[in-house]
Amino acid sequence: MNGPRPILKTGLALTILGLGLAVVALVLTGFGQFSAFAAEHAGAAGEAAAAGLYGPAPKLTAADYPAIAGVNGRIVVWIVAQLHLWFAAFVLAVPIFVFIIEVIGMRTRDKRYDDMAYEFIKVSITAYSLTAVLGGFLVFALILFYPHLFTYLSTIFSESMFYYALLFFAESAALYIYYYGWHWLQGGFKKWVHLTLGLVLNAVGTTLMLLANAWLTFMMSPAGVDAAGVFGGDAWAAIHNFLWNPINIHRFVANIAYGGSIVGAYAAFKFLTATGRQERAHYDWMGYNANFIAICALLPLPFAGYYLAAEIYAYSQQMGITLMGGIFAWLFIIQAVLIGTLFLSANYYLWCGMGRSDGAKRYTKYIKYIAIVLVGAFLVWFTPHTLVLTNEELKALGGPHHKILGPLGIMPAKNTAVNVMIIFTAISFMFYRRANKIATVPWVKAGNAIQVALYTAGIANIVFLGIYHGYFTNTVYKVAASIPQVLTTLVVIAGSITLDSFIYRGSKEVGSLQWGRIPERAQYALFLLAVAFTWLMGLMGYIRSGIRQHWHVVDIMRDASPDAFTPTLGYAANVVSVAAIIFMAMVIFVFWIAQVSSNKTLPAGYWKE
Amino acid sequence: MDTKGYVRPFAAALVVFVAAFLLLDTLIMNMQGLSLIFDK
Amino acid sequence: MRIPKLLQAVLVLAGVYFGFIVVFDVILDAVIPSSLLVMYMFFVTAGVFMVFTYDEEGTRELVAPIKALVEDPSKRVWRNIVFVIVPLAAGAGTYVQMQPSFEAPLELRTIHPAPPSTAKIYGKRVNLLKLENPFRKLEKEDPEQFRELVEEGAAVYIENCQYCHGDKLDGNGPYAAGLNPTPLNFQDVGTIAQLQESYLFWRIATGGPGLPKEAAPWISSMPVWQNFLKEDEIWKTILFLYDYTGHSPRSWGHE
Repeated sequence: MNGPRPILKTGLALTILGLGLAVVALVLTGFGQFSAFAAEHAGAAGEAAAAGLYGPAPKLTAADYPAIAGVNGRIVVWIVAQLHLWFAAFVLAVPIFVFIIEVIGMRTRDKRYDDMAYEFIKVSITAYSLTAVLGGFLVFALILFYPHLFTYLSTIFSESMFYYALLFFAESAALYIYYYGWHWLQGGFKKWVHLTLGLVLNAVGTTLMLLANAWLTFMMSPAGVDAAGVFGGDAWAAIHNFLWNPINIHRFVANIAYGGSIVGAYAAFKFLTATGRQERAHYDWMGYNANFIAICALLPLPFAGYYLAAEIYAYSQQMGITLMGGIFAWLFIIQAVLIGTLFLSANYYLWCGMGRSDGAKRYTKYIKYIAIVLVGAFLVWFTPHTLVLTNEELKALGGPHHKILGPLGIMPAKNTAVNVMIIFTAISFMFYRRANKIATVPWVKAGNAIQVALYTAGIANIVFLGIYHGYFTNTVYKVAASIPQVLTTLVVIAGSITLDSFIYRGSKEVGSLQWGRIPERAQYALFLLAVAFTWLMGLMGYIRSGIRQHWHVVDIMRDASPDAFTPTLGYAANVVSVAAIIFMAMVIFVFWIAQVSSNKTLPAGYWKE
Repeated sequence: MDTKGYVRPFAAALVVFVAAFLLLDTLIMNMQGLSLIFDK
Repeated sequence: MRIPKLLQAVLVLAGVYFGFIVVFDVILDAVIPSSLLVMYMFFVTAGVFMVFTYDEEGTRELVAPIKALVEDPSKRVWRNIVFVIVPLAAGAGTYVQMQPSFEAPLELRTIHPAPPSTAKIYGKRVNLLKLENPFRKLEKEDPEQFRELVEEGAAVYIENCQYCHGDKLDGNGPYAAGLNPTPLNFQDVGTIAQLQESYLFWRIATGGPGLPKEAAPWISSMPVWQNFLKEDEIWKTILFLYDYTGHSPRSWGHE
């Protein structure tokens, strides 16, 4: 009996692996064919255009937008697209760090990691079907309310939309085998099979996102079409448009941070509803890890955003000014406030978490200084360029220009502030890691001195670059100097971690970490993180879409619907807030359903014996 | 203040790090076709 | 004697609040806008809350006086006093805020509206995305002639612009005090240093009446200079604006 079973199992595992590889092959060859097809098309582009295969972008009138049941089509599409995007971001991000956590579990052979990874993916399963449902809803809404736009886009992206649909199948297959096969594919070779599946899942998921990104960036920075919107036939040119990669990078990083914050909220939810000590400890640990993921992805995010904004500026000064200096500038102040909130709540969670260690007392005295710097940098970060002044203040200042606050309103000040905030968040982290350790190497003092010197030099360099290049050179230098600023931050963080690993080589532990010993307030910080993230994504998503203003496809296809106006800030914020509340309600449902599956009722006397 | 154990390594490290960061700045600015010190 | 935590927190907040006012309004002589001060204080309060509550001990100490006030039977008199004062203070605050005043309502004005992609200037339709200052290349090619052009631009500026924008280009000319919104200060790093030359050309040539919709209300009194100046005079003036202030126009080319 013992003989054939492992063989059977290995056979099954191999089949799964084969399936996984087949999916990869399908994807790759699909893309091979696709690009060959695209190249062929590019060659034939002239002919195609000459033959009138593709018409120009339609010129629409208000009558081309169907009125259906008195519903405002724009708001429907807006909210549904936003909900779809929130869930998609979550569902694409979770497998990324689940995969990483699973690898960590395999390397360390610490089963807790494996269990946590499984629990994370469990939460995302319900969210996955909601993503699909909302995606379908979105397509319907687009076809119903914006039929001509959808037709135009689908003639250009016909192949990529078809592959998208196929990939969605592959994604579902990979996800379901990955999830339902979790406990089956354990140990040795099978673990490798499972990890391969995880990799396939991530590859397919990311490809899906890249395709969808191509469609929306085409609408912002169209390529592969002429001025009248006649498609040249080169699908790759349309996909690989100017803003495609900046959006890809920004979304990829942001999704991870967002996914981390949502599972963090899940852990907080479970922590607060936990009854036993062990359960509390487990969810405290899970919340800590989720927060760690969110912060790790949050740290590079401002740079990805800055890159995207700079590219938008470079693509079109008009779009850039609309974004940062014009009507949308005030939403950027809200954005700054929310990003600051993210940093503050993440730091607060870390400080609260120091209570898990008995050795933390040595470091808590520094927390107030970190807080002062964080808040100070935060105030610079959200100081608006255009101040709201009362008439009396206007008179007192002699004009809308403020000699102190004015210079704080432009990007070099913001970049400097956000780099400083990131470095101090890293310091919070360093203290957290040190809290439970006692260094035993003889050169501790010198090591700490070097550590302080590294931070001092790094911050001095960031401030130097920000002030000198930001205010005493031209805009080319100003933008260019933001890169060494970012690198300085990264070098400081990497250097500090390396240095600490040497200082704490062979260190003693103060005591075992008391997981679960954390105030409940800290869990609300995790909730705040998730809510702020959601709202932020909604507002920024609106801006990204809104800077097209009255265009469906910028400068090519005009939006002639009665809703083509740019809404007032309050109106837009209300729509986004309503969407965020709907999303939160759905997320709570997802959390609840993840819990229900483990509930069991024993109905006494119900079933016949 | 502990000069030998703390201040000296701090000062030495600070000099090294500042120099290293300036080198990094110069390098990155040069890679972008600019110099560290602005000239019109 | 140790100051109780609650009092510490209140003192810190009051210190920061009055610190802002003293530093900005008195020392720097540049009032801090009340709208901004409110936002600043909100996050300073959040920061103070974070520092005082990250551990259980600190939190307990912080809320102890509040708890005692509400729960402790011996504090009955104090409780009653506080419970009368707090609603009254809230009511008074609301009253003061809602009271009608002669102050004109606040206006959010977009100082740098996004330019259209094309504009009609001097009877031609020009593409603002591609438009460049025809004289800018002389800065490197023929510095002497460039200096002459800057001088000519300076003359145009002094004849036409300085009455409002000031002889130091700081937006503080003889007529500035009579205008609302006040003329732009070109010395400020947030104005011409952030813009391309084509943007300045568009703003100067079409003036206040040429502002796009988003810049409403169109209360700028900037004249439509294309009716008074020649095209190359505007470009020369732009050279002068950057030259005098030491700013460089926004550009994307790396040279």
